[in-house]
Amino acid sequence: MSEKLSINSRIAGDEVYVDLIGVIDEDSIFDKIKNLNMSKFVFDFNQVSMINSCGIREWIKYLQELDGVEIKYINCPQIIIEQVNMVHGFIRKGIIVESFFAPYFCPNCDTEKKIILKNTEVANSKAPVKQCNTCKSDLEFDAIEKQYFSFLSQGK
Amino acid sequence: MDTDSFIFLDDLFEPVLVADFDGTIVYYNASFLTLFRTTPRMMKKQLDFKEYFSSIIPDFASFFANLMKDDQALSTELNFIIEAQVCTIIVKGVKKESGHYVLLFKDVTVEKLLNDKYRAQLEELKNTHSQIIQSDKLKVIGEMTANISHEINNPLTVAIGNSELIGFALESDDLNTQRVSIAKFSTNIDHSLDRINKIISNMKEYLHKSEDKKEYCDAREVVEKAIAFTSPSIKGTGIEIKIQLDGLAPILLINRVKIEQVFVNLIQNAIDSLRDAKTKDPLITIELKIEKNGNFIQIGVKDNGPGISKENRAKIFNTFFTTKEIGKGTGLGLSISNRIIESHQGKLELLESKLGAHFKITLPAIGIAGHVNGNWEKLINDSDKLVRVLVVDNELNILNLCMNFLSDSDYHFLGASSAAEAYQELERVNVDIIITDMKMPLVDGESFIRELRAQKITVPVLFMTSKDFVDKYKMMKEELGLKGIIIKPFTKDELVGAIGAIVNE
Repeated sequence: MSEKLSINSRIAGDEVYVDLIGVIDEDSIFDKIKNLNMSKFVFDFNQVSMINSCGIREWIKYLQELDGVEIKYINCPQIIIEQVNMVHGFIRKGIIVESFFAPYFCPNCDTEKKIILKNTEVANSKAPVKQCNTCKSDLEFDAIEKQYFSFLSQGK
Repeated sequence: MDTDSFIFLDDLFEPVLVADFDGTIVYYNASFLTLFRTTPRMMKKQLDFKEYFSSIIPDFASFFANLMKDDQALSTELNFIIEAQVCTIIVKGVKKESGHYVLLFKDVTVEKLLNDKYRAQLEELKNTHSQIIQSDKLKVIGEMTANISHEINNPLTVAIGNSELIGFALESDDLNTQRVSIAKFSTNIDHSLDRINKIISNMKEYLHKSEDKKEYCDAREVVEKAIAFTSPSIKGTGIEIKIQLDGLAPILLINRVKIEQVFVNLIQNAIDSLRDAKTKDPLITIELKIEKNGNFIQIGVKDNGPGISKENRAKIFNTFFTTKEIGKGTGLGLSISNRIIESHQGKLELLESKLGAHFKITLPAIGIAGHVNGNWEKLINDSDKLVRVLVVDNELNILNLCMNFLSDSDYHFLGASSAAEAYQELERVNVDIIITDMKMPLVDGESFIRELRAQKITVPVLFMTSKDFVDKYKMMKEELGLKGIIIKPFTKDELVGAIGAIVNE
């Protein structure tokens, strides 16, 4: 059996903050964050360990419940970005992916890094220059930029 | 990497890799990187794609050998482990004239996991369903244990009494004078023990027989067995159970034990209702009839008790719904009965009635039931190629035997217990071979075939009868165009062989 999805949510002001933890797949249930009748949602994907195409379908179905709601995604890990780039609907019109992780590599330290980026840092599908936090040398972007950042145009 | 000529593949969802004939990787797309959890930087280090894939996918070498041999290849499902996760892919490889190998990957990991999960859950459901059926049986057995022990006590008392009488007789000085009495006492003991044995056998069969095999049964016998099974519950209640039947009993193609379970449930419910309501002149009527077109058998089970209230009528077939006191009913009987009848392509209904409860069971008659029995896949896929063999015999044991013998053969068995049923069958479907018994009540085999030939029906016919009819067969052979005779008793090989000989002709 796969690790089940757990959901932590809190309401602050007029926003609902939702932490998604574990695996998003065909068994994921989002009842806990349905019918909250709030106008703004912030979803934090930082602790999502895996998402498959069935999980994306379940998520898209859940999004239909949030019609007219302002939605932000934050801390989207690489596995989410890769799936989102392949399945339409995860980022429906109006959803802002505020922050996400991107793969970098430090040739000096020979280490892979996952660097969190703000959506505003990426222009024309070009990865922003980042420095290694250990040796301070410039990091190389470790994926195909055009493909990796293609999701950014989805919510517009 | 010269990617210009392959740039159009960038937008594909499917992972793709292109390599030169010398093994150099010249192109891959983003989906490829996602599938193999790799990066352009890591791919630069791979000098030969065969070595790369062989280090990840255990069965890649044999796939590549096929690609070399035929210039294109499609793999079976290939498993590999990456980042502690098992992935399943299908690979298509093509050797292009441009000097490239193109490999296309289909990731079926999710499909495979879902399929495995679905199968496991289906298995779990099946087990739960069998457990529910078993628990319903146990409930019935539990409710009847007290009555059954009383049933057993009576013959047991008789047996013990007669045993004592034998003891007294043996004390006599002149045993010769006691010989007749001892024989009588001994017979009484035999009868009593036989009765106990039957009661226990019935119980054991009801409880343990659960295989899903259908057989031809006399509807009246099935109902009578269910009545006998519930009879301990009506002792001392004054309840009368009547069977209404006009003419010959209908023949059913059913799982006997399961259908018996349905009748036991319906009769037991009627008994409980009549007993609890203390109905005057309590009566349960079981009506057996064949629907006017002969396609369906209708069986009514009705009582003259208080009936079922309007609000409960809609819920009566729901699982766990019961009107009985807590501890007396599980609410499973009718829902299980409904499912059993549905699995026989039949229908269980609660009819509107002014007095008491009236259930109606509709089951396919012998002909229709024969069409829906057997290997569905074969029936659907090979409908045109099927050789349909109609066996006509009033002895149900023979029909069941032939059905079993032909079940794993290439021939589709159809049964009829009389000439009338056989005519109906011939109207309904193209039959390829008829095998008929000679001695049958009402219309015998000879008259049946004469009528067929008179109607210009030229289907090949085999007789299935005893040695005594061989001479008669010889006389009629030419006139009626008979193809042969199967002498009873016969083996599976003899039956299949006789049919095969006609088919090969």
